[in-house]
Amino acid sequence: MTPRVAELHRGHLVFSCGASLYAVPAETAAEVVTLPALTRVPGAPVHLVGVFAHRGEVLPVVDLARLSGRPLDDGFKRAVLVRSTGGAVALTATKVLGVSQLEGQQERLGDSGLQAHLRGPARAPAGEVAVIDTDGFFDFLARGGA
Amino acid sequence: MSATDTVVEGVVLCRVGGDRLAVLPSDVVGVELPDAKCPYAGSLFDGTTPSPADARLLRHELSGLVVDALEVHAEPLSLMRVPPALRWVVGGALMGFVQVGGSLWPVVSLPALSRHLSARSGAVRS
Amino acid sequence: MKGVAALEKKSRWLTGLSTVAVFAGLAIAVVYAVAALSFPPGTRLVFGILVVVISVGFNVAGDALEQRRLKTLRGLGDGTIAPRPQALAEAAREAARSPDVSFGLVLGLVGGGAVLVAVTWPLFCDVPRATVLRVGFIGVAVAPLTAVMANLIAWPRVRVVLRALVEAGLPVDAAYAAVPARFELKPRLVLFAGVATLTPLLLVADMAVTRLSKLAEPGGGGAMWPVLVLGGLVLVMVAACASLVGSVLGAPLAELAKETERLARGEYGQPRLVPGEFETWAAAGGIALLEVELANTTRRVAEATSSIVTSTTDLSSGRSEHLSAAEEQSAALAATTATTEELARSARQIALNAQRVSELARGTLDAARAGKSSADAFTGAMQQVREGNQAIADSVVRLNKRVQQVGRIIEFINGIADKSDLLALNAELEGNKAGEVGRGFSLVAAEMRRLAESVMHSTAEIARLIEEIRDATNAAVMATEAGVKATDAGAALAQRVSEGLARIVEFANLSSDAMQSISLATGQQQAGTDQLVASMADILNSTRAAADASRAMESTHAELLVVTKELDGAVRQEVKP
Repeated sequence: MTPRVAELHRGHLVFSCGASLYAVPAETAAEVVTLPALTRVPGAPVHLVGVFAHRGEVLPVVDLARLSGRPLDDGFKRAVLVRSTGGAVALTATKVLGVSQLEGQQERLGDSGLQAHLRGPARAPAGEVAVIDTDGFFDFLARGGA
Repeated sequence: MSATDTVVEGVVLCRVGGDRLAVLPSDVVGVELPDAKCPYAGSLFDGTTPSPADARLLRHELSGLVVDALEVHAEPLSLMRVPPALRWVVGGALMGFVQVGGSLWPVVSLPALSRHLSARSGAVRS
Repeated sequence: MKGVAALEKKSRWLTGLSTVAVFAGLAIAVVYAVAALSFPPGTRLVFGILVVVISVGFNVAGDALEQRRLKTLRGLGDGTIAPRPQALAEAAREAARSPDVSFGLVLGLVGGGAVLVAVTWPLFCDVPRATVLRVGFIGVAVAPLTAVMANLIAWPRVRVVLRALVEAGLPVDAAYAAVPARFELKPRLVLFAGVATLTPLLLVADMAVTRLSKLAEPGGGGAMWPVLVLGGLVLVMVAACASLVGSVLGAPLAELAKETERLARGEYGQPRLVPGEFETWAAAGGIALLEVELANTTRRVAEATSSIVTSTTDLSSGRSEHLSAAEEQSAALAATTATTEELARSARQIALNAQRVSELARGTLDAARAGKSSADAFTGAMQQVREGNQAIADSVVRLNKRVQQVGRIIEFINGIADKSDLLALNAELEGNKAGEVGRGFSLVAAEMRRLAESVMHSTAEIARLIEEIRDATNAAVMATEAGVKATDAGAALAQRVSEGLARIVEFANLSSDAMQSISLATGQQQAGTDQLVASMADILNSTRAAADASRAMESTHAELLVVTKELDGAVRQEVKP
């Protein structure tokens, strides 16, 4: 996927998870929700911390901190609902900073795992952010997060 | 409720530690006392051992699944679809989710789960 | 004991001569009977036998009665009774009554014996009635003479027995006291004279009548010898009686004369027994008593004189001792006066010190009272502090409740702010999705978010403040509880202090009173000591005067001693015998 700097000028929803700032394109960010009690799913990997029903739909909750190998001690209060062609997931957020215009690159930040689905380096007013490649990330999840 | 949702004629609601699980009644041949050869459903969550007192075996043909407690919910429920991110778990044995008493219960296919577990145990042994 | 040995067989000896008197009388009667009576043939023998048997039997019986009466004297003679003064006095009484008892017994027995012979004689033989009557007459006529003689011959023996009793230990004055004096000499003499005269008269008259009747009878007259014998016997008996009467009077009087001569010579001391009868016995007792009294008086005079001599000698020697003692006393008193003055000075010092101590005690009392009122005030203050602490504690508890309420409100506000934030966030997101059209909406939403965040910041701050307040109030609650406990302890302590001070006040009060009493007493003592000093000075002066007077008395006493020694010599010469 070719990096497009121009895309960065569109609005991105910026949120933090642990010490890291992440951003998703505003058009894929369906909603910011307060996380209810979660139901654990048998046989699910650790980053899939559970599911919850939201507007008649079962949404899986993905913990980016666990996925990046840096689990947090305390729970999450909020989640950012991201929707794409591959379905919808809720990404845990320590704090949602709001919609911002980003500046920077759209290069892949890694070759494997989550890093392979993050783009950057980009900058938001709150600091450096990793932009999640939504489609690739969804594929990644559908393959079991491997 | 989505139009694509299917309806199930009741479920068997199972408790496994602090977690929940449901199976279709049609998949259950019988409820028996735990059998050492049959896997414990807790292993699907954190691999904990079953509670010895009230544990029951949900028999399915030659295999089965041991749970801590169970009850039958006999009313029709709509089966919510599995999100794409979860379709692969337990070898695809996750059939969907039902909402009972304000909580979500993951519904698994007992035959598929038995196959997955025996395959996994076979893979582990090999 | 020699005295007791003298009493041996004295009772028998005392009555022995009455038998002699009886047989003398009997002899008179028999001689007269033979001479005067004409015995029928064959009756003389029977008469003789009857006279002998009855006279011997009566004599034995009378002697037995007499011996029975003299049991104390007999017991003393046998040694069966101890010679104690009471027993000896009783024996003296028994012996003194002996002559009168002999008189009675002999009178009765001789008279009775004659009557008995007269009664029994006719039973054995034929005797004319006139003869029998004359036999009885003879007995009755002879009996008084015989009794008088028995009485008279007993007196000398009584004297011998009394002497023996005195020898055996009976005090002379006790002997006089034991036997009461009887003033019967005159009637006795009249009786003796009567009997001595009447008996021969009767016999002679009877004899004369008999002889005259015989003369009238044919061949009468008869022999003269019985008349002569009878007359002789009667004369002998009368002479004996007269002699005995003379001795009853004469012998004691002679002895009494000797006794009075002895007393006149000044040879008195122990009185002697002068046995006598009737008035002579009373006179002898009186002289013995006089001797005893005289001896006692002389002894007392001698003792008194001796004491006077001793005292005068002692006084004389004592005067010189007294003189030197008075001088020593004078010196000692001078020293004592100095000491007393020193004592007075000490007393003054003590009075001063007691005054100071009294003031100190009063000061202590005032201080203790002040301390007690301070302690009471402190107790009150502690109580106020305690109440204040309690009020604070209550207020803090109320404040805590209010803070909790505020906390809940803040949580509620925070929840609303959170929801507002979420809403604003989603609105911003939606506005952004709407592109240029939604820009204003997004801006408003962002503003709302800042507002909500601001509220959440504020609520977080408030929550933190509430937490601090909660901590502070918890600390305050604990502090006030500790304060209440501390004030309780302080109040209890103050109470104890107050009670202790109350006791101190009480003691100090007592102490102050006691010290005032002591001060007062010491003041009085000081005054007393001053008086003592003055008195000592007076005594010193008096003692000196007394020493001078003693010297003057010394010469006077020397003269007194000379006079007293002369008196003593005179008295000693008097007492010497």
